[in-house]
Amino acid sequence: MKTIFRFALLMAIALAGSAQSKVSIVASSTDLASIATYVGGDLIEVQSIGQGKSNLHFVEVLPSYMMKVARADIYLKVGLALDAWAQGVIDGARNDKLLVVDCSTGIEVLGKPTGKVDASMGDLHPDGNPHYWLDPRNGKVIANNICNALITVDPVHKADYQSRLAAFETLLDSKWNEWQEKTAAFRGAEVITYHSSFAYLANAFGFSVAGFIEPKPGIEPTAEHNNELIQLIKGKHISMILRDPYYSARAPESIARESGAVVYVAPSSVGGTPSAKDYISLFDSLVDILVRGAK
Amino acid sequence: MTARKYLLLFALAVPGSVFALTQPDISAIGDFRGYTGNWIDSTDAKTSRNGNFNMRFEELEVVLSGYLNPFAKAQIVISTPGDGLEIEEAYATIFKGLPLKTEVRIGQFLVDFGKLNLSHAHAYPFVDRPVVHRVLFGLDGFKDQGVSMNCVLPTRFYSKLSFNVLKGSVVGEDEAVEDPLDGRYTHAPILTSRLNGFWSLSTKADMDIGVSGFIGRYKGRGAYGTGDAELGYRNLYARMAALDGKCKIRPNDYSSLTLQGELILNSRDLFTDVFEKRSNWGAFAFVDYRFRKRYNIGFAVDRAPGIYDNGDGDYEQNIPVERSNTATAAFDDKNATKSFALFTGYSLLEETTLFRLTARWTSFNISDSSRLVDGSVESKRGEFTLSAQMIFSLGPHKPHEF
Repeated sequence: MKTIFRFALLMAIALAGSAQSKVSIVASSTDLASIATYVGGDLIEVQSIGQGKSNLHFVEVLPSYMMKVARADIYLKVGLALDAWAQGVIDGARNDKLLVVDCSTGIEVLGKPTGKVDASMGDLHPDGNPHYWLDPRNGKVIANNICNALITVDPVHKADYQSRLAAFETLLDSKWNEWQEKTAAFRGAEVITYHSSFAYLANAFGFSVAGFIEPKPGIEPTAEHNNELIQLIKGKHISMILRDPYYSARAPESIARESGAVVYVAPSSVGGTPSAKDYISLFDSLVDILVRGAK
Repeated sequence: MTARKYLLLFALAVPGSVFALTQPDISAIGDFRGYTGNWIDSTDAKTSRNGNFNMRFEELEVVLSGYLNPFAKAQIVISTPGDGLEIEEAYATIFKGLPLKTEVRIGQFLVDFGKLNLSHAHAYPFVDRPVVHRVLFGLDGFKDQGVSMNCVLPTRFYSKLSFNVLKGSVVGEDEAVEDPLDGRYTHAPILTSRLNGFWSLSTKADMDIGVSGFIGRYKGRGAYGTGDAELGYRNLYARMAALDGKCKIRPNDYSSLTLQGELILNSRDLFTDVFEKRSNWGAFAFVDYRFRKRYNIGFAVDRAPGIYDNGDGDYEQNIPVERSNTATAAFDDKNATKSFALFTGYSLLEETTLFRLTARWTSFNISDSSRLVDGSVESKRGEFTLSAQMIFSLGPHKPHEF
């Protein structure tokens, strides 16, 4: 009888523990993880596989990532073929209960190629530019996708998630106005970027990308292309080169020396620079760079 | 009706959208090589290939892979080594829905004995397969037909236990032969198992350690496999055990240092005039430094049992083929082949176009020439081989990582 009582007690403790346990989320990127934190708060535990200073295109699938996903409730994918490696992690995790969320659902995708896409065009994404989180308006779409997933997995806290989502959207709206005001002087400017990472940022803040350090997506800079860029920068009086933290400084610095433009290390993800601590401060950092560029 | 007509009818019958959705990923990987070196035969004379610049299209691999349904996927690798056409791998993997998160693989596949064997040779940072693998597993590595099961163990770190029941081609004839004396087959399915653990030492360093075991009967009861009842009855077994390790350090996105090695202990029963149990060992290790993402440089050391005969056939070990049914050097417990290699590589973009260069010095340690067919040979001069390799891959299948 004592044994049965002890067993029942243990079961009750275990069940009580599981009822209070947090929703476990693994995200492909720090950006999705940060937005998930805004929506889930202390009801979730979130980890990111990609790191802010790493190139999300190239993440090596490691068994330790599979271990994380094996214990997770939700996996947040960037989608649009950016984190194609995530499928290997998800399959390797063998987690039948995992809810996989493609956070690009509902995004108005930029740069979707028309016609046939092949490797002669470089590492071009056939579904369009996948760096969509760099438009703060898309942050709302991502947050809604995450909120829906959380409600599916943890319907008990539906009201909590919805209220946190509303607070996040309000915060984004107020920051949007602030950021737009600060970058007003930069509107209409042209910049050079290393990769097509900042197309959504340009769209959000009204500047344009005149050229890329990469001759084609994923292709290393060449001397001939660098010379063309130098002429372009001089001809159009472009003053700013944006480099993601994980790309080599060599070609941008060399072009800057020859052309007179200034290279800015711009975080393309949360954690990319020390100041980009979360999704909001990521834009604070980027806006700060644009403001400096406008002077 | 020809197969082509059937295919055409099938394509017409299946709605286009469904056909497109169910098409597998199709990839092709070509491996072209140029090589030169000094190769000496048993009379100490240069072989016909010595000093020449030789070229050969080593292999074309066509890979078809995709999901069969939400629970299973399949991969077929057809290769063209030399003039032939062979199925290198063809298997289905049920990876979801089984109890205890078990994964089951059925078909023909590279066996997870050690770590390196799981990768296709084009994924190695150097040109040639380690000599110890060529001696113990054959030129294509350890691949076999059968069933493989593995499960992830409930440990704090990632650990996996696999168990394979295989046909046994790596130690026996391709087709089992019925013993004339008792009607049993001359070799039985072999059993292999591997346990490996993976640890993240830090955010920039990982380590993988594995142990593997193998046992297989390559000759059945029929009198030491000879079919002679007067000699008595005894099964002949092959046994192997391996310890493998890999450590990868990534200071940043663009560089990594890989240290990898494997020790294989090998024991083979042999009946020539008397019953013998011969034990030997082989090992390899390499250090590969990848920098600026597209370049790599490193060195490899390798030790294999027996005298690895580079295809000239002058140094075959003194084991009658009908008694061994495998590379005869695997039975040599006295002599050894050692090599040292320097290698470098460059990939144009990702792994779609790779160039590799490997310089390999091979030395031969003959301490007992009675193990060789020509017992008068007391030494074999060392060889030097310089190999250049160009690999191109078309489609989604790329050399695997870690």
